[in-house]
Amino acid sequence: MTIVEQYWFHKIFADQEVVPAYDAPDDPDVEFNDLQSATIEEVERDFLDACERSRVIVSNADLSSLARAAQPSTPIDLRWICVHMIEEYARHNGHADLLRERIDGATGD
Amino acid sequence: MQEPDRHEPPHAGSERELLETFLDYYRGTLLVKCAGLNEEQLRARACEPSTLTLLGLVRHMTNVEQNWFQRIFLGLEVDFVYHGQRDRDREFNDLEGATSDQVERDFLAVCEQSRAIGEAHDLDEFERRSNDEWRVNLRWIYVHLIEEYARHCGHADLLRESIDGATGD
Repeated sequence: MTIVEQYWFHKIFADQEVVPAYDAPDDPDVEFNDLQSATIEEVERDFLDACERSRVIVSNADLSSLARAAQPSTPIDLRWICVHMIEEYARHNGHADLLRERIDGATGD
Repeated sequence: MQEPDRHEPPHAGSERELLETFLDYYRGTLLVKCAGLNEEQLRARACEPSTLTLLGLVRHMTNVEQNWFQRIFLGLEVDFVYHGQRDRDREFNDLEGATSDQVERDFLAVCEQSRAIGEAHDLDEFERRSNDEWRVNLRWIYVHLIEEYARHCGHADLLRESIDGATGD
């Protein structure tokens, strides 16, 4: 979700220079697969930083404004990005529910 | 269950257009996750220790649709499709009561009722259920249902992958 935040809000919407937090030329799913390259604290810090940068971008923009780096043939507005991010987080939180329950039995919203 | 006719939301649009199309997309996604499986697979607790099943999720969302659009938003007395006095989670747990075809039909019928209610009201309109300090408007209900469907579709992703290896949006 760190690189999803970077992709949709920083890169596609705001057209900012982005250095993906996780990147490898030979593995498109490196953020899922290579879990040895950073500590948990670094992962959390990078995630919180990316979210904060996203919040600043959103709070200064109108929901109807169009993403600057989207393909001209497919305009994308900030409203779509926000709804998409809600459903993407929620879906992955569903995955996290079952992972967590299997790990230590913890459940709940 | 059959593969539903599911449409991607447009990438830009009015608030109502995006809320309605995202919600419909997710109603369809839950059925996509169930499509092509047999009665036993739909009832499988495939991610234990979780007790969730694909059929239980469709039954649960049937009640959820009725609860938010009919009971809370319109303030109606609702005869829930799945109800049980002894078991609050009966829609998840008692899976012997109906075939998957019946569950699918009830789900689609309730979604159609929700669509008609949503289309007929303004997003700023508040729920009619009284005696509650905490009142929501129709906009909140749409966003909540999108995230509730998406989260349960996350559960459905892992259930389906455990059952037959199928993955994807």
